[in-house]
Amino acid sequence: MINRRGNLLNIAAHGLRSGGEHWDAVYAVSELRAASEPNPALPVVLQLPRVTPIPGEDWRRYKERVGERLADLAERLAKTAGVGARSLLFAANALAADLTLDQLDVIDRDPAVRLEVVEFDPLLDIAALDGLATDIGLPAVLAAHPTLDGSGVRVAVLDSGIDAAHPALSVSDAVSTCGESVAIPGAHGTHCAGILASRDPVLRGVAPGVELIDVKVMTAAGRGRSSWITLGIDEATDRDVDICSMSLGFNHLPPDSGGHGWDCPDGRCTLCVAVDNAVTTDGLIMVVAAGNDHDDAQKLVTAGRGHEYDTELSCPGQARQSICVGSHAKHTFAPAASSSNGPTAWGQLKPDLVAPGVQILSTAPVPRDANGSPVAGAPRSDLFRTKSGTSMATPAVAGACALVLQRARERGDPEDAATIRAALLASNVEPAGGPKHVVGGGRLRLQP
Amino acid sequence: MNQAGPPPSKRFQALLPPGSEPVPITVQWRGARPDGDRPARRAALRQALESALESHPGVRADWGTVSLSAQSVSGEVEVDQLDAVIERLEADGLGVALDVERQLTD
Repeated sequence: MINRRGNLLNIAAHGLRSGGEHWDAVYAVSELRAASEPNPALPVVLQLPRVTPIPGEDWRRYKERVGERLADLAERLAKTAGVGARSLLFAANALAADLTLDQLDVIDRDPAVRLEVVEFDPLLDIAALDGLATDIGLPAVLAAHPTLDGSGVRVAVLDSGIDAAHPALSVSDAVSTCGESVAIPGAHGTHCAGILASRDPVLRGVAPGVELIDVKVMTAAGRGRSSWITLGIDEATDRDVDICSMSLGFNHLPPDSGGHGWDCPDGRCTLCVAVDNAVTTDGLIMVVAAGNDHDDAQKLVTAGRGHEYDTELSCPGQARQSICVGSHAKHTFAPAASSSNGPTAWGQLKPDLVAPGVQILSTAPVPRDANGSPVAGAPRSDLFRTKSGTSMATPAVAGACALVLQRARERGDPEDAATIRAALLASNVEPAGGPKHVVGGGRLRLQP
Repeated sequence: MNQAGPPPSKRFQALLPPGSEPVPITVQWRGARPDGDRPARRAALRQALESALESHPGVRADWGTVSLSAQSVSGEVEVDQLDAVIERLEADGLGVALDVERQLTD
């Protein structure tokens, strides 16, 4: 007999002691802790030894035969443990029930019952969006709060456009400020939107329940003007969004080195002012990429040209009120080599935090046919792609803000931008391997 | 007939695409932030910018591009007047930036 009850008890006990991250322990412990009584019932599946179908036996006859055995088990369960079955699982030859560990022990010791497997049956609401979800602690959060998905939170993605035809994305509103139709999706914008809000059952975004608003401030090719971006912030504000996710920026590196040559020594450029005003005047949470210019900036320093720029950070990432996001590698949490370092041009410590941004798998625009129409039934391999950069870390943080905001609303806690920002940076960040001008307060790590 | 003026200074040449004439710019209001609800603030901002630009005929503002969050308006300046116009705008306490397209994503 393969009885995993002992394993379940062991890992649950281990999880309680250590707060460990073994999947089963996370789920078991979270349910034990969430229960109000001291010895709560856990959802389990009790599986009997396999029943082999008889040659020629149809499903109805097989189900009747298995059903008799499951009925016997249910009767025994009621008699010895005083518990009824939650459901009979005919194809699995198993029975689902809610049992305390004591009741589980009674039924396991019953000589009249021969169980093949006892399995914990948690309510799963998560699959890993690549390694990003586990890196930021999402599974444990969702195990403790299964309904947490950003519902009721309006998030604008200011980018190159989101593919509304993608089966994993639900775009509730769209507007363009760049002169290109919202019907032309950008790969960059679609990828960022998926990290934030993908509803794919396997590659789920951080906050799939948010109201996703496409504010197209760049062309699909990723070209943009500062005025398109600031008009996009206006459009988002006019639409009463709670959060803006901005995976873009104008860097300060000289144009002859491939930089943007943006000039903002004091945080008063139009991009930074727009972000600061959106936060302080209109109450939005502005999550902005730090930029991917550390490598290029270091090359300039090596070439004796370090005096030609005042910060590696882009605008509006360096805006005082932004939540400025750098990126780190998955699993190792090492800062990405390209992630722009602080401080700002006037010496303020940024970025504010780092999040996974290397080789992130997320949504890609649905392939189009010759007429520009989405190809029906495109394979999944065409619907998801990997990308790297602080652009990918930013929507992960925006999604985390949406979860923090949703929880605040459900509890009736203050939900203003400053409070949510403080809650994110104080309670949902863990130390990361790097100095503060590289990783800020640390790496994003949601706390259950 | 327009008389050709001096080319823009090196500061701007590197940012301008070849042959760009006129040059798109944004002009930013750096005075006190208007109060009130969004429509009232927008109207007050436009009025402030219109007044400020009255003495700068070299700027052709597009009043449909007033950005409340950035406190700015987009416009155009002839390339041969760029340095002089920007110098005067900045002397009047207005922020100015070239509003040219840049590649923002990889």
